[in-house]
This record gives sequence, C-alpha cells and structure tokens, in this order.
Amino acid sequence: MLCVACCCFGARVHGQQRPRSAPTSAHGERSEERAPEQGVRVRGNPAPPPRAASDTPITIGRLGDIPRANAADLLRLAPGIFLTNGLGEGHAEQVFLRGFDARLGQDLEFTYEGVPINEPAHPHSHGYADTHSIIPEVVDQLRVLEGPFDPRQGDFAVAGSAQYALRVRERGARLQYRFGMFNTHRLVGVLAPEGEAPSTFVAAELARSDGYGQNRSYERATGNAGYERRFGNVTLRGIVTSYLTRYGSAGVLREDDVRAGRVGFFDTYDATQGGDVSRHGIGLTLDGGTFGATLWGTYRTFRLRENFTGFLLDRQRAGQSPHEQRGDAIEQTSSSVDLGLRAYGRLRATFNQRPQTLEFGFYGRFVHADNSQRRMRFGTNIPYATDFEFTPDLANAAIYVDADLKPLSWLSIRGGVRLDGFHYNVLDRCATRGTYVRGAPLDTECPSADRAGYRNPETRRTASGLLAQPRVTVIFGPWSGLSFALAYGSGARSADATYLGDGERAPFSPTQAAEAGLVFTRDRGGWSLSARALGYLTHVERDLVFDEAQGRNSIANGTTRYGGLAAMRATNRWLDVGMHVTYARATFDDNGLLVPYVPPLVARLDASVLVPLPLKIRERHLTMSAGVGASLIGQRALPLSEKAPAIFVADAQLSLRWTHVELGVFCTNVFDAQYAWAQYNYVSDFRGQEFPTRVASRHFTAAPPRNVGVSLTVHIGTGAARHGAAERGAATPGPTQSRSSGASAPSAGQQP
Amino acid sequence: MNTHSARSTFTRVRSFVARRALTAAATLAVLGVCTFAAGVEGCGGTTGLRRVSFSMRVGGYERSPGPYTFETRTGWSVTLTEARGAIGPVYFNTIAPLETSRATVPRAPASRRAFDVRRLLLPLAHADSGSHFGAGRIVAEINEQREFDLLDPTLVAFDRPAAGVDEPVRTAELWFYNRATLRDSALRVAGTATRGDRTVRFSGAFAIDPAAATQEQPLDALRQVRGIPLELIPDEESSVELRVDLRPCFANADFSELLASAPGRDGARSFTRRDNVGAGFEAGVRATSGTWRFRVAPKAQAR
Repeated sequence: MLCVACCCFGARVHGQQRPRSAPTSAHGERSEERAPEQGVRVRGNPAPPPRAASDTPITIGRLGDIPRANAADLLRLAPGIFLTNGLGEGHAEQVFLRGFDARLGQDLEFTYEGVPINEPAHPHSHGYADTHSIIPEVVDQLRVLEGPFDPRQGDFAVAGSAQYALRVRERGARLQYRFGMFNTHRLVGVLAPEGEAPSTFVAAELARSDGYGQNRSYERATGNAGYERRFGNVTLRGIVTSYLTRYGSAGVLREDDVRAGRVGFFDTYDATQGGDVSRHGIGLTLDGGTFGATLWGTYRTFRLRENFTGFLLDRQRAGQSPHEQRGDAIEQTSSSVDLGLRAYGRLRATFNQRPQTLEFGFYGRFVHADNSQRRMRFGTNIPYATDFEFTPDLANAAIYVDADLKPLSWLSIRGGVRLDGFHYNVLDRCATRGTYVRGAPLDTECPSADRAGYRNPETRRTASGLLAQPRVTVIFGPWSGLSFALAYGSGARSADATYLGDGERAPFSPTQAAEAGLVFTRDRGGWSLSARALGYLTHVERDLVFDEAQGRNSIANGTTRYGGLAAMRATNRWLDVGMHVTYARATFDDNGLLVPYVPPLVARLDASVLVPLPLKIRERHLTMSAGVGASLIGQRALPLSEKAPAIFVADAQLSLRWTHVELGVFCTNVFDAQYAWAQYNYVSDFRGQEFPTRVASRHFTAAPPRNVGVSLTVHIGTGAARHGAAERGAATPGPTQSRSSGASAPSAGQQP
Repeated sequence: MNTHSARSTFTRVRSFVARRALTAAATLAVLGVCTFAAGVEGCGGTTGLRRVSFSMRVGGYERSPGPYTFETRTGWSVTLTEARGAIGPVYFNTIAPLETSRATVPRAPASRRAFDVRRLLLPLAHADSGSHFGAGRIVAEINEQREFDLLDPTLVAFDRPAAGVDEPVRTAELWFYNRATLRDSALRVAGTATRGDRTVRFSGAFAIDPAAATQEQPLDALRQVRGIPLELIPDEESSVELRVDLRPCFANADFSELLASAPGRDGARSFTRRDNVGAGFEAGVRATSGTWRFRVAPKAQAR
C-alpha cells in the first residue's frame, strides 16, 4: 500500500533547558528530536537519514567556543578536513578532505540553508566557495557527507558536501567584542527573539585587523538574518546574508629567498595583492514535510589581485611594442547573479509496519557572470594585457529519485539516481587576444582582424552535457547502537566554462566513491557517545590541479584515493569532546605517483568544558568555560619527492561568566608554530637573484603566528538572567527554549 | 517454520552479524593505529623526480700548447692573443635541439639580406611562430656568471653548482650579460690575421646592446643562445663540461675589410656588427653548434 502521509516524522523537543550541545544519536539523528521529556510536541523534520558511515552531522554546541576564524573553520570538526588560507582573510579557504585537494571548493559542495555557495565559472577557481558570508556564531549544525552518496548532492560533490544550518539556540541577545594582537578588532551581535524559532535571528559582524606580517590587513562587515513562520503544516523559512570585505594578501614567497634572508617569513613581494568581495544572498524555504522547495538568489562581486610568478610570463609577443618584463600580477574580477530552485515531493508508505519513503526532487540553477583577468604592471593597479574577458551563462537542471526503504528492522536501503544536465553559453568578448596581423597597430588587446580580414573580436561558445549519477547506501543495524554501513556513489564536477569549445560535449570529472564502516552511538548516564570507523576508496577520472601561471586550476589526469578514518564525540552536561583521525593516500592513475600537497594524516581534537565555580556573587555562580582545539597534519608529499614537515597547531580559550557578562581570553597557535600553509612548486622570478631563475622552486604562504586576545560578551535575555542561578550541577548557560523544534532541515530537498 | 524458530534464527543471524561487525571494528582500530603512524611520517611513494645539483666547468677547446692559431676558409691565418668571456646564467632544457631558429639566427646586415639566395629558396623552418622553437622546460640552471680565459683549455668550475631536477636534458641555453671587466661586453677577443703579406691586428667584442632590441627580438632573446645540444640525465655525480671553440667565429672572416677602418691607439682595428668579421663573430657566438660544445664528463673523471 502506498499512501501519502503528512508529517509522519513528528519531532519533539525538550521542554526546558538542555545543554547547548545537542548530542547525536544513532547515525546522526539528534536526541532532541526523538526523546521527549516534557511532552511538548512540535512539528519539524528530523535530521536527514545517514547516507554513509562518514555522514557526519555535527552539532557545533560548545565546541563553537574554541577559537575559530570563520565559518569555514568549523569544517575542521569533520573527520579528515584540513584548511589553509594563505591568500588573505577574504579569500576562500583551500580545503583538503580525505586525500582530495579540493582547492577552493572545486571538489566539495557547500550550501547554507540549501543555498549553494560554490560558484561555477568563477575566474579564480571553478567552484570557488567563499563561506565568509556566514557568521560562525549562527552556525548551529554542519552536515559533512564525505562522498557522493546522496542523490540530493549536486555539482562539485566530488569529495562530498558540507551543509551549514544557521540557527541560534541561545535566545536573547549577545554582543561580543574581541581584541587581539595585530590590532585585531571584532564586534559581533546576535539577536534571537525569545519565543521564536531558532531559525529566527539577526546577526551582524564588524571586523578589522592590521594582519600579521606585511599586507594582510582586512576590514569586513557581515550580516545574517533568518526568519521562520509556521502556517499549519507548512513552515516558511527565510535567510538573508550580506557580506563585504576588503583585504590585503601577502601572496607567496620563495623558500630560497626566505632562507637567504632576502625576505622575511611574513613578508610580501607585492603589496598590491589583495581583494574585494561582496556577497548578498536570500533564500526562501517552504517545507511541508511531504513537499518542499527552496528558492534562492545571490549577487556576488569579486576582485582579486595576486602575483604568483613575479616577472616571468610577460614575454615579448607579436603585436606588442618592445618591452621588458612588466610583472605577472593578475587582476581577476567577476560579478555574478545566481538564481535557483530546489524542490521535492515525497511519497510515504508503510510496509511490514515500517515507513518506506520515495522522494522525487528537482534542482535548477542559473548563473550569469561577467569575468575578466588582466595582467598588471608590477606594484601598480595598471593593467597592460587581458588574459580573458568572457560572460558565461550556466544552467544546471537536475532531477533525482531517492528511496528510503526499511524492509527489515535491521536493514535500511537508501539511494537512487540523479540526472544532471548542464548548458553553457559563453560570450568571449576578447576571442582575438594574441592575434596579430603584420602591419596592424601594435598593442591592440582584442584586435578586430585576423589573417582573413575584419572580424568581430567577440565569439560565442555553447556546450552542454548530461550525466547520470547512481548512489546507494545499505545500513545494517543498529544493534546495541552499532551499525554497519556500505555506500557507493558517483559524483561529478561540471566543466569549467573557461575551457569549453563551441559545440563541445561538456566534459565532467566523474567520481566513483565507495566506503564501508561502523557507527556506534549510545546515550547513557548523561553521556552521549558517537563513534565511527570506516575505509573508503575514490576514483576521479579527470582531476584539476593548480596552474600558477594562470592563477587558477587546469585539467590533469585521473587520480585514485583510499584510506580510513576514525572519529568520536562524547558529550555530557559539562564536557564536550570530539576527535578524529584520517589516513589518506592519493595517487595519479597513469604513473602511480602521489598527488602532491595532500596530507596523508589529519588528526584533530576539540574539547570544551563548562563548569560552575564554587563562587557566588549576588547568589549567582560564576561559570568557567575552557576549550582547546589541536590539529596534527602529517608530512605532506611535495613535488620532487620531498615532504613538508608535519604540523601541530593548538588553539585555546578560557572565559568566566557571571550572569550577563562574560570575559574571556583566547590564543590561537598557542605554541607559535611557524609553518607554511599552502605550498607550491613552480617557476617564478621575483628578482631576488642576480639573474632570472627559471627552475621550479618551492613557494609557500605563511600561516598565522600566535595571536592572543581578550573578549567581552554581554548576554541579554531571560536565559542570560537565569545564568548561574541554579545549583552547581545545573548552572550551565541554558538558552531560552525556542517555540518550535528548530531541528528542521536547512532546506527543502537538501535534507529530507 | 514457527514463530519461535524464526526468532531464534534471526537472533543467531543478528548476533553473527554483530560479532562480525565488532571484529571488523577491532580490525579497523588496529589498522587505524598502523596508518596513524604511517600518516604522520607520510611514508610510501613519491611525487616523482628529485632535486639534484651537479657541477659545470668551462674552458677553451683542447689543443696542444702554444699560440692559438688557426686557418680560416678565406685563407687568413689567425692568431688570437686575447679572448675572455663571461658566460651565465646557464639553463638546461628538456627540448630537443634544432639546427636553427628565428631567435638564434643572427640577422645579417640589411644590405646583404636581399642577396641571400638560400634564404629566398629555402626559408627557415620554425616549429612555431614565437621567439623560439618552443619554450621547452628548464629543469636545471646555474644562476651565476663566470668569466674565464677562452684561450686556456684548462677547465674552470662555476662557483655554484647547477641546481635542478633529475629530468632528461636535451639542450642547454647560454645567457650573456655585459660585464664591466670586459669593457661592457660579454666576450672580447684580440689577435692578428695574416694572409700573404698582409697582417691585420684586430680586436672586437660581443656585447648585448639593449638598443638593438626589437619587437621580434626582445632583449631577452638577444641575450641567449638556445638549443645547444646536450644529452644529460642529471644526478648528484654529474659533471658537465663546456668547451668554447672560437675558430667557427672567424671561419668566413675576410679581415681585409677592416683595413678600411682606422686603427686604434693600440694599433688594432676593431670589428663591429656592421662588417663581415663582426657579423661572422656574432653569428658564431650565437650558433647552437660549433662554438659551444657541451660534454658530460665520465663519472670517475667528474669525481
């Protein structure tokens, strides 16, 4: 019998205070959604059913107290993720995940509340994912699925996907000011009206810093706002983000120059490097349990100036008047509009007294961008050549069918197929660059003639492609909290519009991924414990590697990755500990060589304690919270069979709170480890030597040194007023309970 | 099968699966510990190629002791009394040698270009329309300039070794920068030429003239001699020798043209790019074969 049911997954929440960290239960279902204590039944969607042993729903909870630079930094809570960012505070993070160098998002699908973050056809990197428009304080949960195992995962889900859920559980208001070294100031305010859903909030952030070393200053302003309203069985949620920044970038340094003392570790060659970014987005989600849709619109502007090679590439070319090397700095600009919709409809039936679900979904996205890349005279903002100037229109439409079957109490089969279609319409506004006809005027960037005579310098290219991606998961259990999961999936990255020819059948970078693992979850004695261990294998047919000459990625050969990971998280009222370790080995298919820069080992520990002190002031306990986060990155393989030293970095914070006021101190990179963040190997000439050097040399971007600062937080609201009023064991800062569960998924179709 | 039996079977299956799962978990844990250690060390496999450094020495061509004397095709007997040069940096390229290329073929004086019948009948072939026959890839370099006596066959080493990777080298590139000690030139020669009863004292130089840079021949192209054959797979024990033979630079020289010019204070007549001696000298310096001869020294000799 197949019938349409409405909101079969009624969820309940605790009716009173609970620890800020909502522990996860079997395979990620959050306990507040299934363990009613007060009988306050509210409607809402459960967490999405797990798609693999690596499907990691991370409730930030108290681990959010550990110093984090931004929302991307929260990704380090997920197993196997290592982040670097050496090109400026406003530059997207480079993500390494389970043997993938996902660069700036090319291999990892990012979304917040169902709104995609990856930018296709971006001039800096196809799939560029800048998460800085998200204020980390409003990230409630992060779901990281480390593989293409869910039919809802779309473009760029090669290594997996990361979904941010923006909610504020601590109701009331919070205003925090942070001051740290390098003249760093950060002011953030979060207003979450009491009695409203966690999805209803307003948050704003202002930050500035001189930055460590040379040319790393930044200024930024960010605003996030969400609203949730329920109409019977239907929930309407809206999210608005707005973000703008201007930042400097020190860029890369040559190791030999640093060793020779020609430049300092935190210096720069070119102080004109940096960028300007703005990003404004809106998302609307309608969620009715058996149907739902998310609409979004995003407008982005981007300008980046970087110089990877110094004075190397500006060779004398035909059609140019005689010149010396003028400098290789490039200015990439882009403005884009991103519109889209994702929707789903769900059929539910009962078989063998167990719920069975079949979901049909649709995904449509249209991106219009205006991209350019120009070469700049060294040390100036004066362009002298155009590398490209094009306007891509990219459309992506997809449908999927996904079944969630539970034929036996200990067996779940989930999966389906996703069909993606891509269409590219690219107007190259300078298709004749580099063309020179003898006798024509010199230094004409986009000439209107070729050997055959007059021609319009513009050329239009269109291309399209279709792709089917099957994905399936089989889960055995749970038995006493232990489940065994097998998963297989095919994912893909769309073609980069920069490289497409007219009429070309758009090539994809298909990925085959499989994993098998164990998941254990248990709640006992006030503790909530989850642990997982798994092995995985992934193959990418056409990988992308970074091309320093172009300042962006270019296509390379196929690669294969395998490895394993183990992760655990334990939470109770006063302690929250998460740790994970991941091993990865990535090799090229054609020659078996290691994929460079990929860390073979990523280990991370996050721990936070929150304890009331035996000290009362005006009948209110002082509470202390302390947190520490530590990362260990194994020796990374570098080009030329070399290895980068292992990295160990620790961050810590300590704060005291008395009712409304909280005073803290934080320290990042506690041991002041001096290490390279991103590393590259290529030819450059920054004129540090007497003659031009033309052999590939090691380059790096410097990771930040130790930074110590203080913070002052003012909490406002009835929850804050009660803080410390209860007895010691219950003196944790409890949020005022929101009106509805707030456990609903970030978006329709994104999480069922 | 009754209900009890079915439940019993199911319980057995469940416990079997659970035991297997726990065994798998334990195995994974052990594997995890092993891979943790392996991961910290990052052991196993390479990314290909290795960094190497090797030595390079340079000297005049090997000859018997005595005056540096040779005969030209034009019948002149030339004795070089002075020849000093400054070479470097030196780049080692993966690209195969080509006999000639647009960038490396010296331009003849304009007055003669029109009469070059061979050029009219057999235009030069080029692998591409750029400044060379393809960029290739530089895999090693000596980032240093070395001044030496071109008449002395004794090999002198560059102060710094060549640094690069162990990728096969097919050609070498020599770059020239003017040097103050050579009176703002890169190579300077002097000598006498005798034919019959006519003796000409001459001197001249090969210098990089920035003013000569054009759109087709930018300054960097003027500085370099590319495509000199060298077969080498570099390793730490490699040693490369460069012998400089100036005889091809004067092979077609007719020194009588210099007699039209006034001698200098030292009595020598200077050749320039505008006369056949100077043009031939520059052509010889820029030639990829003849003047410059690379050789990989046997390992034992290198040590």
